[in-house]
Amino acid sequence: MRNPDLRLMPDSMNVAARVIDGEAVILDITRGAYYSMDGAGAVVWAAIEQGHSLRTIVRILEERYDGTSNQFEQQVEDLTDQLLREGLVVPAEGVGNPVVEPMPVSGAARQPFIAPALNKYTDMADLLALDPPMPVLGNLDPDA
Amino acid sequence: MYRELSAAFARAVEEASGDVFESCYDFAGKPTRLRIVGGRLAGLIPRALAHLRVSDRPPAPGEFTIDLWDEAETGVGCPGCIANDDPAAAGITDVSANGVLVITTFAQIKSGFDRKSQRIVGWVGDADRLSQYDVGRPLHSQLLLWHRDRGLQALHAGLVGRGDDGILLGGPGGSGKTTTALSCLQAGMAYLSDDYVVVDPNPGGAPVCHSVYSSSHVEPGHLERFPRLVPHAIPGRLAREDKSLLLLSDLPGAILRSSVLLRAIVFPQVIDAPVSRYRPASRAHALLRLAPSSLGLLPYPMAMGEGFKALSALVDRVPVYWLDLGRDLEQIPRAVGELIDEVTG
Repeated sequence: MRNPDLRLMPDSMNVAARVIDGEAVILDITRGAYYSMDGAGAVVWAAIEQGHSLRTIVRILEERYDGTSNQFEQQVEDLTDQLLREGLVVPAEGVGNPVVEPMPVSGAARQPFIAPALNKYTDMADLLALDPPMPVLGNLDPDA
Repeated sequence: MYRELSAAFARAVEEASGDVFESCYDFAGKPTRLRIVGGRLAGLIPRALAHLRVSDRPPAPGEFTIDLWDEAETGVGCPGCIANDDPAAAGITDVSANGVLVITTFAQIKSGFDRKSQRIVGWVGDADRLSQYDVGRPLHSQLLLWHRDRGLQALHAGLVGRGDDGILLGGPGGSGKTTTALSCLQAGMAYLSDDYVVVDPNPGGAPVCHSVYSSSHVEPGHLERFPRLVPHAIPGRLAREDKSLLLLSDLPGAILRSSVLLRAIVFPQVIDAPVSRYRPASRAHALLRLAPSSLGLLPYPMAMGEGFKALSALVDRVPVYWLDLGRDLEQIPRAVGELIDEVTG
């Protein structure tokens, strides 16, 4: 893993998200796309929201799923790279207070690991093509 | 621009020699006054709001006021107000730097909304050239913004009810919201909307959903499935108006309500089966199907972020279901009625 101490955070200026019933629902407000992730992907997203480093996210997956550390590291790296490319998260270094890294809690039986997948929906523009069309936002004109 | 619109409206009132059409409404429990100069315009704009009309009363201080005039009938123009030759041209909204004034321009309407004083004042180029949407959902973007300013979240959803109990119909266009709403209307249930709804979270009780317009836009081929409604359909007459307009307050016996308590959210989807039925949906699916198009109703970044939170909280508070729409339309209100029985029983 290139940078295990990296912490990410949702890009709160552009993204609204919630993990609900084990599924992450993510809305990119400014670019007009929305996303979902279930299973391990939702676990990773929730851990990002909580401010965990990539190293801790890997440990959380190790506690929950069957698999090897190398496998989890690769999947976390791939997924977070994708989240960064999509502009859904940004590096959290220097933002707010340092986060105390909690130890993952073990107990529940591990589940089979399915590689997380970020489902992207690009039909939001179509959904926004409402009847009647909503006016597009024009100028911020002091004399409006 | 707002000042010019306001001054021009005052001139139109003055030149109309007091011939101003006034009517009063109850928008989500708030008193609203509509004043129109121009008889033809006054015969069109109030029709989609007729179910919210209340008996005339004296103006209340600080109440929401909508003032409109028709240049073609009154001869009163306004600097900066020029009709667009393309009636389907995209509208545009300009917002003042402090966010208080919102000016919206469509082909035949330019209106200014002062959010602080709660007043919309608008120019209409020619009432006879208004589009179906201008008549069926007048001033929709500014009205939804006014509701949002009152803490009410706009939803792209239909709404039907029985008594005080309401079922929200979510999902993108073409999923079956209109089919469900009109089927329930024909079966004697209350119709509140097939497209736009505002919801009051009402933390002390069940969320309250409010109707905005009692109109529906239906493709002619689809309308044939509702023979009782066909005689009331107003066909499109402008380019690209491929739907018929129904002003449901014209429909004898139609039950139109202004508000209901929200008991469940359903997501209609057409299936190839004879009967309709409902089955539980996940809250994540509900949020995925409700949020994108609802948030598009107020495409301001801050409103979208707040709206997502509001919708997220809403799916926590009421049960969510799929509503599989079978071929037999009469089965749809039966399924909706059974769901109301279940969630209120």
